Amino acid sequence: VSTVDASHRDVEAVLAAYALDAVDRRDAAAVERHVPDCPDCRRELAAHREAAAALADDLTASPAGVWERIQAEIDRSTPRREVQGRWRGPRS
Amino acid sequence: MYNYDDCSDAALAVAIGRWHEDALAEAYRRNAGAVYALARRVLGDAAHAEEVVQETFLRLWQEPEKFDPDRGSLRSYLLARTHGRAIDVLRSETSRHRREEREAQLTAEAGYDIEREVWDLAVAEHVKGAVADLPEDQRQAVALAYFGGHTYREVAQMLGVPEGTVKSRIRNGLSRLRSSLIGAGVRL
Repeated sequence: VSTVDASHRDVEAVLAAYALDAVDRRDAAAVERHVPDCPDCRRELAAHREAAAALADDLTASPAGVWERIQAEIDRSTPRREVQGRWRGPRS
Repeated sequence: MYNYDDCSDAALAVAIGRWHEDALAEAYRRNAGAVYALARRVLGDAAHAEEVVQETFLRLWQEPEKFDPDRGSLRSYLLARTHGRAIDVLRSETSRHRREEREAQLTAEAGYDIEREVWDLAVAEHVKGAVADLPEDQRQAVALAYFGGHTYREVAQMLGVPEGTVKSRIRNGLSRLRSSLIGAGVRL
């Protein structure tokens, strides 16, 4: 797929692979340029993404400790804000 | 403290945008298991997967407006982000070595058995039926791309088939999968 003159058909053919992150940068760029202006491709891409998400709809529990690390990072990187009613300043 | 148990995805995103940490906690509670499972499946190791989970939710905290409820569920948004990030990590220089090792291991064993094992481990019960309905070649192409983290070009090389064939297999596979899931009453 040429980055310049990627036709609708070329983009359409790689939409599913794109939804699986299974394209190289050139294909990805072609998709990203075409899709915003093409309702059909937007719809198809959304459908493929939902199917892809279903593949990952696993029940495995998250490892212990990750949420605590997220909280610590939130406290470190966003020091002034309102969290759970605690006023810490406006959001940027 | 507000209770977000019955909160919609859209409302959660709005609350996160107002810095409500409890809303992020609820998004995490609902989705972290799937997010972690996917990252782990693609990356093959727990430590990298945990980092990706952390990044995914911190990104939601920083940019909740990037999630558009009209375009799908929060879960599918987070899973797409997670998969993309995991692929970045996988394709980055630092993990190239591990990737090569993993591929060598994959080739050393029979491709089809590995692929089946990947599905068995990674896919939830209700999705397995839909996956089982796929023709073998489509199932294989989707698994190598999604769980293996390969581009369709790499998949074509691995299988010794034209790139166009792999593109079609992935496209037809995902379309069929979606139809089966909807037919089985799975909410997408």
